[in-house]
Amino acid sequence: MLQDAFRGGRRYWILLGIWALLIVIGMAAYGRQLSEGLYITGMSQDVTWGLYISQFTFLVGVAASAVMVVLPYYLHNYRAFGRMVILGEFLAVAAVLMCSLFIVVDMGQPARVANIILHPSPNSVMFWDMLVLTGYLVLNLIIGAVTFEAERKGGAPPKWVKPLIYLSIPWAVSIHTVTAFLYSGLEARPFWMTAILAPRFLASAFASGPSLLILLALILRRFTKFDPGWEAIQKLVTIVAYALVINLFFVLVELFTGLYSDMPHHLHTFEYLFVGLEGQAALVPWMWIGAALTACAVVLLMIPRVRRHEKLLALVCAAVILAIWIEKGLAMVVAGFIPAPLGEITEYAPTAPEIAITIGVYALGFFVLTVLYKMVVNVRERLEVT
Amino acid sequence: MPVLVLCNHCTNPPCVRVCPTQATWKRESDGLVMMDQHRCIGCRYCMAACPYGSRSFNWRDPRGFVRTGANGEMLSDYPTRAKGVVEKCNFCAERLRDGLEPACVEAANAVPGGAGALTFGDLGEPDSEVNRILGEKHTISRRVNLGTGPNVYYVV
Repeated sequence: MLQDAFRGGRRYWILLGIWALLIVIGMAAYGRQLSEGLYITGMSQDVTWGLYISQFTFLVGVAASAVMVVLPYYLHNYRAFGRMVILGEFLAVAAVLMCSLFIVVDMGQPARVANIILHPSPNSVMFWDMLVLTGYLVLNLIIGAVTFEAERKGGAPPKWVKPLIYLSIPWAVSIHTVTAFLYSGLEARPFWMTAILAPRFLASAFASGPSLLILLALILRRFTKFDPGWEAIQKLVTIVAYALVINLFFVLVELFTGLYSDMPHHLHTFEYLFVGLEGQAALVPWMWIGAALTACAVVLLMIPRVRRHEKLLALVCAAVILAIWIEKGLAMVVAGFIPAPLGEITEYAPTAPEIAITIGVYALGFFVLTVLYKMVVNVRERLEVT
Repeated sequence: MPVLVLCNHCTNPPCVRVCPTQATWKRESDGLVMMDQHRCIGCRYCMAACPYGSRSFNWRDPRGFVRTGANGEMLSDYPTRAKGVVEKCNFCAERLRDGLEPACVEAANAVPGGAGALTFGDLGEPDSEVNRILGEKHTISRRVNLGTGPNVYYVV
């Protein structure tokens, strides 16, 4: 299976070269951060988490969304996902890898990361998040590798992997639930302390993750001889449409509670996000772009002709990913810190090295994803021929 | 209303609850919320969890900003800390051990006209000065509705 990672045309190596270049730039920036401290980021006394932890949160959702292909295929025997399911599992592997790296680059003392295991603290949600994420990575690696290897040899996967597949379904839900609990259990941050945060995280994950999967499937259809299946793509579109509408509903429910109750603690952060607070309004344009993208995507996904048009579909999926990224990868974490406990409005903007490190981590994840998908494509192309 | 940014040494501290390495803990002997800067991984979860903004992070190496003597020697016995870890007020635990009061209490009361501005004592001891003040004067604490049980009181 691994030998297939080294068989590719010029385009494959160029793509890997681009990822490698971005990784090197990111590592150079990270070297600076290691020697000078997190001082070189845009984070501050008031906004103590920024781009890194936001990307972590967004990518946990992408990882969890693999369940949207695994569940229909293995529980409901939905055959159309037969060629899609491995793509979902390998996307989850790359996403969890990026999640772990974003946690590490955010740490002030990354060399001490083992302290989380050496001094296990069941009272800390972060301890549990580490456990479920590691478990999810291992589950998807084993399931993906074993089922794919069996397929490559033209046989059925061994029986022992079935229980692991069933276990991976609730496990996927758990990773995003526990990640939401990181935030929603903090009495200090009223913006996060809402019971609907975990359901919201899951809904937005099941919109953005499958959108990314559709985009990747469309790319594979266009540039390789391997077709993950038009019916499978169309089923994913249905999933995206439902999840996006449910997420929109959850956001509006949240807005109602904040706006109608009129309680300052609930209201201030929403004011900051959508109209600005005390003249500080860095996130306002982003929030309205996100709202517009969501509205357009919801409407367009209702139109059958758009769903069946390959290029338009790609655009809508990109819009969904961007809208959810703004919500979770940009605003959600930072807004929780505004206003600060002492009432100040301190804004946050990432610095150049911080952005370089972030892109570097993404590049590493996509490097791994490219290699994994290349193996899938090579094997599938061979199977199609014979 | 201006408030002191020292740690409230909560009865039910959220920072201790969220710490993934037990680098911060509530000392059983006297209830101080302590901090081990050698175990802290710098994840800053405690800063997100503290409703009082009472924790800070060493975004860069603080040693470059510590005043030293003429020969470069440290003016304080208290060890310097590294970059990348969280800091907090520990009520000057190292001074309490020597029978001294916290530095902020000593300094505030030494200001002309400042005598009695800050009072430090043991809430667990019924006859202590702090308990006498709490019994006689009207006091408030910060954000008591959160249930953290802050142990710093403001006389109004």
